[in-house]
Amino acid sequence: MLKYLPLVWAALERRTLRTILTLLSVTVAFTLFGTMMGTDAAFRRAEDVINRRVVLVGARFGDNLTDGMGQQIAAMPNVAAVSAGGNVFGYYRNPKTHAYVMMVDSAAGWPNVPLSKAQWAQWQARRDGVFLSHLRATQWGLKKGDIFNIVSASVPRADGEHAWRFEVLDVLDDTPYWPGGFSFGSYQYYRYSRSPADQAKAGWFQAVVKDSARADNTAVAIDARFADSAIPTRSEPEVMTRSDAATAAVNVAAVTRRVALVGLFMILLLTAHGTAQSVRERLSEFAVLKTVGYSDAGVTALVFVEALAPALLGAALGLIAAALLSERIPALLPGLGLPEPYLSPAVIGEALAAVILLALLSVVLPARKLKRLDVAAILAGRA
Amino acid sequence: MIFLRSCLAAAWLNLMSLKKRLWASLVVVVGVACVVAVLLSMLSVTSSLRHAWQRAGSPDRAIILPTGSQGEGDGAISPAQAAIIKDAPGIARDAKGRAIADPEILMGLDVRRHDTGGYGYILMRSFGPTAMALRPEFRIVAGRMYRPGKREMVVGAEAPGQFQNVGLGDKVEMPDGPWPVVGVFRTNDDVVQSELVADTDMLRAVMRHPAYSSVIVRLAGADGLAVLKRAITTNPALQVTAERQSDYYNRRSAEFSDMNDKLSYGVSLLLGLGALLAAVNILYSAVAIRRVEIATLRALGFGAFPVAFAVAVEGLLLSLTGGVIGAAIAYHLFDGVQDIWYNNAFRLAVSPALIALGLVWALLIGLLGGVLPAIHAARFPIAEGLRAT
Repeated sequence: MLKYLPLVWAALERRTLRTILTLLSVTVAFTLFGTMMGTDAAFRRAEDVINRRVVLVGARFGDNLTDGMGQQIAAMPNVAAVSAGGNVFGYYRNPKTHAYVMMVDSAAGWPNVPLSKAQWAQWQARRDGVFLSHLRATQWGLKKGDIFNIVSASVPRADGEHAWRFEVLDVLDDTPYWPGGFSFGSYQYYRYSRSPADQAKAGWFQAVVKDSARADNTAVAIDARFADSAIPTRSEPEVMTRSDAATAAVNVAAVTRRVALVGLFMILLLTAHGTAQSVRERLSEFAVLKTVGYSDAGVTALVFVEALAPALLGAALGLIAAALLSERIPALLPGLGLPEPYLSPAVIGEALAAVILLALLSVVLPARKLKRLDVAAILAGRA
Repeated sequence: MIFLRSCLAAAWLNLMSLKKRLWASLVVVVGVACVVAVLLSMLSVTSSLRHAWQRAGSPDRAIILPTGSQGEGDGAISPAQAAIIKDAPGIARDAKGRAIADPEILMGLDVRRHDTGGYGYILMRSFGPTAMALRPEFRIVAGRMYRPGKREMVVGAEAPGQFQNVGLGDKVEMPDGPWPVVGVFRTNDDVVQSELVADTDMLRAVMRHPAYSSVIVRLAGADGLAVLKRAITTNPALQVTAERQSDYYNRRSAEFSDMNDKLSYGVSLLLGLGALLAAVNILYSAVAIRRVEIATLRALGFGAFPVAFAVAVEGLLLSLTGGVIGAAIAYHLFDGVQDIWYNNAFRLAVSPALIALGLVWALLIGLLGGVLPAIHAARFPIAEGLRAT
């Protein structure tokens, strides 16, 4: 293998400009590949980590679940805990900046909220406190201790105001569970800021089931229980709600994969052409190599490594660029709720596989040509 | 004149030799085609959706929303407030002297989507007694209009393609039982065309919805909006804002389209950069292959510029061909295809304006890709080129 390296280097060095251009375009293609497949991976990871014990219960028509319904659900079989939730949504500062705080009730019903016991306890002292993830804090330009308002027309307050005042208790690390970032407030603040008539109404319930395998059945049972009541429900395991939501706007997975493939296809053509041309230009060299005893496989391997080396380097540079770009994507495109692309081992593996496939495919046609090389004719200058 | 002729002659000679470099040329063509196809398909989603939103707004109408509300369905207007608004000046009146203004309800209904089989929200809107005067673009294209006071609804023509069981003759589950869909309507291909519509009073009764989402009014005359605004914003009994309906839909559509445009351009820019580098690469090797030919031309007396011009023209023509192919692919795959964004079903359009944009991108790639190789060709030492034979 090592004896090939000087030969490969010589071939690449001789056409420096072409090698650099190829390297750059492979880099660009893999920057695209990394960010696209990374976005896809981030969405898939968010679905993988979903707590399958959480069943979300909402009102089928309108938004007026009552506390009493929560108690009934808690008494049903397979239900371990029930907790209420609500959203304060509106805008922060600029009407274009949609903002919401998810108001959460208790740790037992919210296993999907990444807060420690001490953090849950902080709400007893500061009812209007919120915990933001770094991503959300960056989007809103807030830090620990800041006080801010969310203007909401849809969640009426008892005082008749539209502004919900919050204080940032802490800025926490993002978790894969909440790929778009998170902002959690206290349900007690939500409850007691609304008019007495509204206080018994929850936005939705989170039922935590004992046996996640029967979560679907529990959801069906909850809906059946309230089917003929004044407030019919619609229940679904959180994992289903998430996968529906992921495709509600754009089927991100489908789009990102397609774009990544188009980029690879372009680069495949380019490297294949580059390899073919380089072989064509150096037929006499290969004839010499074959004369001095290189096998067909040896010569093909040489061409393969020549195609692979810049592609591999370009892919590595591209993935590094993708990693650097990824950190900025949520901030560059707020509002779309895109997660930070996650360059998982699987994505890097796919990139590696793509590079090797790229080099292999680029070598197929030149290899056939090399195999049928008329060595005598070429050395005699007749071909 | 001679200069021009030599430019054209050099370009012609160059293009004649393209056949020999067919595969290399195809790399540029396919690369640019990929870029333009991706650009147009991504942009067509945003622009078609934006147009569907914008078509829903009319400058002759105003939308009145509760203060602080972002849009319809967010916040509430009470029946008492709605009555005060309908009496305000600035609103057009019909032959009987009634204000052409209706409070409307907009709400989400759970239905299953065709594509995922999962739940999605279809929007249900309610119309009042002056709806036909208010919305002249509304017409029934199949079945009939719902009868006021009946448990019936009509469906927008785009909705059944995306949502299950909302077609003509289907029954939609409502709190008091299933309501039949008795007709299909069109509204100028706007976003309303993917909604369900029923009678406001019936919907309020069955949903136990005490409040309205908005009041839509037809404006009287050119200064109707100003008069209306003055009347309702100075009335202490109302906490509402009035906005020209066309402005409202422009504003709302910008909320998603600005970001989506950024994303589409970002992705296409990266892809375009890849294609640009590929084009530079290919054109450089084209110059290398033709070095004898180029040197011969120069020796025959062709100037440096015509030779460079020929290379640039090659780059432009190849990428333009790619652009046309890419636009054709995007048009063939996506034009007229139905798409969905949350609860808005709409038709994709790969419009002439978009295609023109795609071709501009193609030309830019060709132009930028050709510059360096063209300069390289022009500065090629003649003697060295001739010796290469």
